[in-house]
Amino acid sequence: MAMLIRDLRIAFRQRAEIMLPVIFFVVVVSLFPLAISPDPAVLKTIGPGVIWVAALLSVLMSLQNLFRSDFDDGAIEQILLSPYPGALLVLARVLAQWCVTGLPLILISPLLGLLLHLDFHIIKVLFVSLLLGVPYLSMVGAIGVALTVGLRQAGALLSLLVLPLYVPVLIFGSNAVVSAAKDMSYNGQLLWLSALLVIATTLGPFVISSALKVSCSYR
Amino acid sequence: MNRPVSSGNAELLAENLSYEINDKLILTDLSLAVRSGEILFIEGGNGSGKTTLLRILCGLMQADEGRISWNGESIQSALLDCYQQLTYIGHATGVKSDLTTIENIRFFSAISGLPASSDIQSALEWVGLSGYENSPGRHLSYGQQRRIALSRLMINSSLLWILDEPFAGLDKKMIEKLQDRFVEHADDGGLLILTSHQSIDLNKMNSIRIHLGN
Repeated sequence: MAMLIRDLRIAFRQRAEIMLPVIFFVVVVSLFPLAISPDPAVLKTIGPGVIWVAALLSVLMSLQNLFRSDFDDGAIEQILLSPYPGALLVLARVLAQWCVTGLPLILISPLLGLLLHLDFHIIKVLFVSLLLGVPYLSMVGAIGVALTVGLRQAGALLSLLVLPLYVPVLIFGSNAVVSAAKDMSYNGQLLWLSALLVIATTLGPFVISSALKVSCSYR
Repeated sequence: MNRPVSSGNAELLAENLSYEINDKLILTDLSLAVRSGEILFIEGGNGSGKTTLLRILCGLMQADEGRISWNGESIQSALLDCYQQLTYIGHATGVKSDLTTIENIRFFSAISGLPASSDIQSALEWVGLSGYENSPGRHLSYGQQRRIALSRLMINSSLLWILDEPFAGLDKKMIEKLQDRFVEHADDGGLLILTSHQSIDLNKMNSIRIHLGN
């Protein structure tokens, strides 16, 4: 709990920095109509994919510095040496990160859906799919960050590690929205997203804390 | 002053530790023991493996060979008990630049899992930071940030202190105060392991010395 409060407090003191991924998300999505075509028919077909890809990239972007400052200033050692379970503290850290980047991104997505001429019931499905998918992206991304935090230039490696794990969620997520647009059933995709989310949030924290231990022991 | 939670006959024992980085032996067959009331002072030049040894002792790194035990139990099985009793302060202080002095201290005591016994204000006075309660960490000097980390020695009541270069970046007066605190901790039955490459007059402290390196 103290961990969550601390991280939220730090995040709010760095407002400009935490807003960046959300701004990136909005800008990328709103550039597509300009670059491709403002035709509603076109936007309706590419809309779900565009929003999902932009969301995925901005989550990846927001994670780059997840453990960086804690690692550099030694706070991570104090966290690992705490008698509280490392997984719990790490979960709080990821949750805080999700509250300031993932959540705003999900909340703003219906507006962007409107911008791309998606119908209301499709926006609803888009919203739910992001609600299930984005926490998974944060959690799995955090595993990659924890593994690479000790390296000097980790950005490219992080993407290589994490993107293959992101692909299933991207497919299920955008496919759910596309199916909804074709009036087909999309429950299957949403169930898959839920299953992946459950796996990631239950096992992820343990993996992250062991990965941090490994990163810390080779500095 | 605060008494350690369970003073008595605590013991940290390391046997035959070896560690190498890039084919260079840092530690070879090193054994040491610290018991309640003892201060272990590890000397050695830069790169002699002081920090590595401390990080191995508190479990942040694994030795290639050797065994560490806390109160007779191997460190792996006694990890939780040991961490409850451990205060480790390394080179990096863990002070967040976006949090104020008070917020930093509160966070440290929250994750240390020990009840914050004495009030934070008196600890701040002890480290000479009263008046800086609400300054964010980035406005403080290196020495002041170190003092924030050291204030933990006043606030929590853990038994085993592992301190890497505790005197670095501090003025003479603070070093004196810190040594008094170390002696007091040992008298209360605490264990203390510290390193330094500076030749500090440690006459005040009745310590066991180990010299690493050549």
